[in-house]
Amino acid sequence: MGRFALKRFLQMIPTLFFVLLVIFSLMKLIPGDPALTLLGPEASPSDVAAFREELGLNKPLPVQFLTYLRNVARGDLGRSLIYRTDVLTLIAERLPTTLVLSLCALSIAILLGVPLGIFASIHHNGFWDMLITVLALLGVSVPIFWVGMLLIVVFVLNLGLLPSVGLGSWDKGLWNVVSHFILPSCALAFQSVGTIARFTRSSMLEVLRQDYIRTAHAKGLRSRLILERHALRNALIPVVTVAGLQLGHLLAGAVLTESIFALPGLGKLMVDAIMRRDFLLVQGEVLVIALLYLLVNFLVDLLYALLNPKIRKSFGGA
Amino acid sequence: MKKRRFVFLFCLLWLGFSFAGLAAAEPSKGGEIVVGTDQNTTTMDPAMYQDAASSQTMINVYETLVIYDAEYKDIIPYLAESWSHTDDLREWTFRLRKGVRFHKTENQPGREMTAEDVKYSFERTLKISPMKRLFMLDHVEVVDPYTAKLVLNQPFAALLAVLTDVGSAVIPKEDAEKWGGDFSQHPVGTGPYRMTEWVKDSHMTFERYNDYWNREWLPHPLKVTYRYIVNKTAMTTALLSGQVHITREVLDQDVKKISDNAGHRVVKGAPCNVYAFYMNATRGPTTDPKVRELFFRAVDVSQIAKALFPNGSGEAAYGPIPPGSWGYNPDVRSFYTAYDPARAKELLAELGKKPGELKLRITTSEDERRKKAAIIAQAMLKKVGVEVEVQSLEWGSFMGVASKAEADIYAIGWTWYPDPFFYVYYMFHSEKKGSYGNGGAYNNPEVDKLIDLGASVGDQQARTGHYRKAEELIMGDRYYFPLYHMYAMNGVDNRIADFHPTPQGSVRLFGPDFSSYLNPDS
Repeated sequence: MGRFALKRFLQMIPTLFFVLLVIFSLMKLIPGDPALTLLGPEASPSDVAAFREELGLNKPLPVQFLTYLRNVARGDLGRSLIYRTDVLTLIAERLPTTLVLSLCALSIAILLGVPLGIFASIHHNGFWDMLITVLALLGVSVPIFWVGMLLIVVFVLNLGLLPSVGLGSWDKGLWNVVSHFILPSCALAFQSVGTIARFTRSSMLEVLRQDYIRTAHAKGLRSRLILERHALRNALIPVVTVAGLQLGHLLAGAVLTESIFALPGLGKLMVDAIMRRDFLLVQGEVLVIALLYLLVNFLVDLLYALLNPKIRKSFGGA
Repeated sequence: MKKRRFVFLFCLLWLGFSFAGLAAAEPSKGGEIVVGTDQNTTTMDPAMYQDAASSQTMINVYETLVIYDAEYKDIIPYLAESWSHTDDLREWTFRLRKGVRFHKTENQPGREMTAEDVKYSFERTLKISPMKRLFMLDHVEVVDPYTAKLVLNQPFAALLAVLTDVGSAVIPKEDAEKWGGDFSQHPVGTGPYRMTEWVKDSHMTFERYNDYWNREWLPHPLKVTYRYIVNKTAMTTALLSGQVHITREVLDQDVKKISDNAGHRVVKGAPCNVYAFYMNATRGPTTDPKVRELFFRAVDVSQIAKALFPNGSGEAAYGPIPPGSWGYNPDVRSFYTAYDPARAKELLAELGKKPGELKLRITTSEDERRKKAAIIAQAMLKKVGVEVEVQSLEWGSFMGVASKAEADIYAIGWTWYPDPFFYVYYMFHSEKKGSYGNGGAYNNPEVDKLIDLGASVGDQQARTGHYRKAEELIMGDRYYFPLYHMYAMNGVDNRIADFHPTPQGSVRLFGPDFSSYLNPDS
């Protein structure tokens, strides 16, 4: 198991390098000059030249890239041009919001999606199965902003139950903070509920067709026991993978959700940074998001290997 | 028994009176006002800021020598009680108020502000401001502790307008030096509020500073919170559901929704902005005066304004100086080349071009309104046989193309102080070639002279005369095609009293002559 983990971990390094290279090149390729954008309409050519000098924008590109890599290795992601503070600090300020939002949404998606999927598989081809399948399809195909708006109209404008903008304040109590997250998490979870439900259903159906389930039935075990003891455990292994992948998906969806509910997360920061050519901030954010994505995948693989011995074997470790 | 009844009655009466007293009490003027803003504060350092959104949060903490009154008509004393200038407008002397105190911090004991602080703050801004906000300032002389003399490098009549800007606020040297580049995170000034919380991209909270130096000017709200909401629909929802009390902007399509709602109103301020198409004066087809006249004849600006603002949040523009400025000329249309599509077709023939042979490109930023205006103009020009390509670039690229005279025609938006100088100088003076304001490199020595004259006399009427002449020449040259002025629109909760809009749309809740407050009972 240890060797497997190490191997999977080392695989992340080239991926990260590649991500950095691509984003660095992209930021250089898109038109628009950060100096002009930042110094504003009143900047004189000499100011612009001094600014470019200061940021090392006059050096050849490979040199710029290597300097950047060296700084990243030292944990220095540079200073944001717009905010004039460390990129790392800015990201650290906003990461918790995006993470909390994504994890809340994932929990909602799992807590709703898995039982719905199981329920549908038990009533295979029956009324409930159809209904849940239709609902799941609906969930997958409805855009986030539409769901968000719908939730706002119902729970904020008509019922006046929940807040719809920004973060709460701790000095106004726990409920204030929690209530600000309810609607955005639900809106973000909406699509994933459908995905996880459908996946759970098909995975369960797959397992229920296996010989050992039939054997268990033949032995006269009660259906409920068969489901809990034998079917579920095996059926949920692929669901773990999907849930992990969903987290990446949710991180991306968080950008839209943050815009609708005015939450100060990474998404908002990213859009601002791109619009205003804050290239160090964009690079830093992409790096952090890529790292998160890779870490989630890494953990999912580990979990998968724990649940399924076949995977460990294929890596030649034990 | 009787006695008991009497006591009971007496108690009842007494209770009744006390409730009546409660009902008749003054409405509470403290409380918290929440402002919804679609633009983020990027810095709280007056010298460093470049955007109107940062100024609306800074005015809580910092004060300036002079300020606009509630109606944005006159400039009135603030930290300075009086001022005078030499006839050549090169030296301005300000008498400061006594007893003005900075907020108490670990770096200074809440000491009195003096002319030394004015010198320090202004020269700091001169040195580090990316906007070159005090470009006209040479240096500041401390005459005595309560007198500061500003020595300029040129005659400059619009100085007071510049000094109303929070970018010219007075700050304590101790704190600015202690924090250096991080002063933005620890703003210290002389204003009635202190920043107590700043959650980036979410909200900022300001609490009233009860040791404020001037009890008479102390604003009512105990707390002011600015919530940052980019999505305009979310903003309107937040207003209508009571989560914010005032919004910084109202979308045209939401005007009706808000004004029809019983608990809310839309407040309009006179516009201090102008949006236009600016044609290239150095290269491309627009250097031909006939092409420019054709443009004016073919494009009907009143139709564009109607299409963009069906609910009246903007109006057609016919000149570069907006109605919110004292330099606005009500007869500006007399300089304007009127819409006349038949004449446009004749002009195309005079140019020796068949329909479809003359091609123009309009470059805009990603701003939806400007894109729409360009597309409508494109359709109108097509009708008279001119092919137009609309190119919209994101801000960074757009700035590059626009300021380097690389566009045939670019869509420019300009918002500034009510002083007309800030419109004519930045957009039409040849000194501003190569900047966003004069990106097409417009150059008319006569106009330059009139603009310089307008900045070198103190008398407002004389200045207005010069600017009007300049405006006439500019509109006669036809490089500048005005599109629209947008009203500053705020969505306001009806419980907010004594609210005054600003021409920029940014929210100002108090001044020496007024203070908004939330009246929970109304």
